[in-house]
Amino acid sequence: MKAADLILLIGGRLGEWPSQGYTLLDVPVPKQTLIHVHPGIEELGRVYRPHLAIHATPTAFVAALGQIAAPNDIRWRDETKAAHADYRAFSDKPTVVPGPVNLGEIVVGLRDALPDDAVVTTGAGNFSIWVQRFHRYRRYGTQYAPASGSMGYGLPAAVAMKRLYPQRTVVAFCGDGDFMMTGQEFATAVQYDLPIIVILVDNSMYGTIRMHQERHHPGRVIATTLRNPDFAAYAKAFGGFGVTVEKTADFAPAFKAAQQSGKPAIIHVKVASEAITPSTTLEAIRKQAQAAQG
Amino acid sequence: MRPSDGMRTGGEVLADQLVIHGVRHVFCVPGESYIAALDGLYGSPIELTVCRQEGGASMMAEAIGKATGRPGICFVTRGPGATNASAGLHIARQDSTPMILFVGQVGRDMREREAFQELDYRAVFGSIAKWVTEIDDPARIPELVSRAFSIATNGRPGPVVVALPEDMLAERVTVADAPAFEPVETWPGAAEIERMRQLLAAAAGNHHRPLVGSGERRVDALRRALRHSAGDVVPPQPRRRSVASELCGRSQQRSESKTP
Repeated sequence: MKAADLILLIGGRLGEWPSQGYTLLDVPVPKQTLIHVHPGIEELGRVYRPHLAIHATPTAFVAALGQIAAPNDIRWRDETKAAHADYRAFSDKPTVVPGPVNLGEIVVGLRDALPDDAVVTTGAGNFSIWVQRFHRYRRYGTQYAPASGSMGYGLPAAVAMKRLYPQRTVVAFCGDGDFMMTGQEFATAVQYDLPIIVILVDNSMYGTIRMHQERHHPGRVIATTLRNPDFAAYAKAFGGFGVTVEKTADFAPAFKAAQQSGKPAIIHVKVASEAITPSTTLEAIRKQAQAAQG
Repeated sequence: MRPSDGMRTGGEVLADQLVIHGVRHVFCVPGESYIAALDGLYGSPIELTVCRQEGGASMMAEAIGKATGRPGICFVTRGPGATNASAGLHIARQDSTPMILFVGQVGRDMREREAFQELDYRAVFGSIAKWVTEIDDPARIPELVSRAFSIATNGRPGPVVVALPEDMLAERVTVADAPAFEPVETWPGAAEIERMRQLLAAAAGNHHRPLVGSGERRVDALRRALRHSAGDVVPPQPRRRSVASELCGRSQQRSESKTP
């Protein structure tokens, strides 16, 4: 985005995360030419002073785009192709991670197995990095996740989506800490016979915070370790289907059994705590931070 | 059976308005503070989902708002119910999701005494919600509920809180229903489109790359419009990947450590 000549921002706000902490665009006057289209008049000029502010809903704006002829000579087509190839290389294949369960392989397997209209919900936590990186959302309205970063969203969102779309497959990716924030709503799924499938990724810690802890205070682990229940037994106690997965190869049959049960299901996937992201480990983060401290 | 004198309780007026506004799903945790509103939903075509804690109920309603572009509806009780529900309300705020939280309130005759579980909702939710109101007269339910739907949906969508004093909901009243709300589109003007054409032409004259970002729903039209165009399309919000997938079968956001 820093290299762009012109940014056409439709409906978004380029808040803290997508602007990488307000560093991609200068505040208040961006170096890039910014055309900001937003339905909320109070959002235009709120952070960035756009070169052109257009108060319009995205639907209406896009309909009006037809008045502008598309360019014939597209000079950046090669760059677009290179960027696409780059993205495919980044997301096509799972990375290698420590431990007998590779969440990347599980997500890639589901990516190829789930129907295009399947709904995937997530809450917040490092487990969701694998979903965001390796899953392909093939239709609009198949991803439900909190841009606000709120934990605990995956399960209730899945319950709501199964109520709204009873015929569609609904999968909730939850972390262990994440799930426990709203885990009581599994009873709601059971009460209304909603066969959602919860993939509960358990690394027995508040992993995101632990990652930041190792970056800033390496080796000084406090308040981030969790001792969890047997989530398969939890599912069964609520009247659902529960199964535990401790190696990658066991996931596919577990998922199939969950589907065939016809019940709300929890697949308790135990992952190594070292596998903190698809591309690094807790140990690597700690060593890097210690080296930086000298 | 409702009596045939044409009078309805506040709870019945409210339930009828929800049906008129097109509500199909309501998520709740019941409370005695809005028992007459629940009674209004008895036998209604609306599907009620009873939840176990208001945080879950409000997130479910928020997800419905995300999916449909129309306000997701949540009912909770006063005090602890309302503070629990703030979890989903905050998501609706940051995610720009249309949502209405109906919350019980103490009787009108004892307000301002810090009665049992009483909260000043305008103060508590003032910086989270787009609008907070409290309905004191059941005859004004059609007016204020209609406004709640409009505010939650129009402009930048977001959460609205409507507080319902317990005795107001039980009061019987004769009042006409308001018609269904309609979302409002705002359109760019001809001068703006011309100015944009000039800016795009200037950028296309450069060697670099225009970038298009979309953070909104209703992507089909955008995909059609951009089919022959040039720029890269990226979702500017984390967890808005399905927008980009729709547009170009890919996305380029890499924010592994920034957006867990």
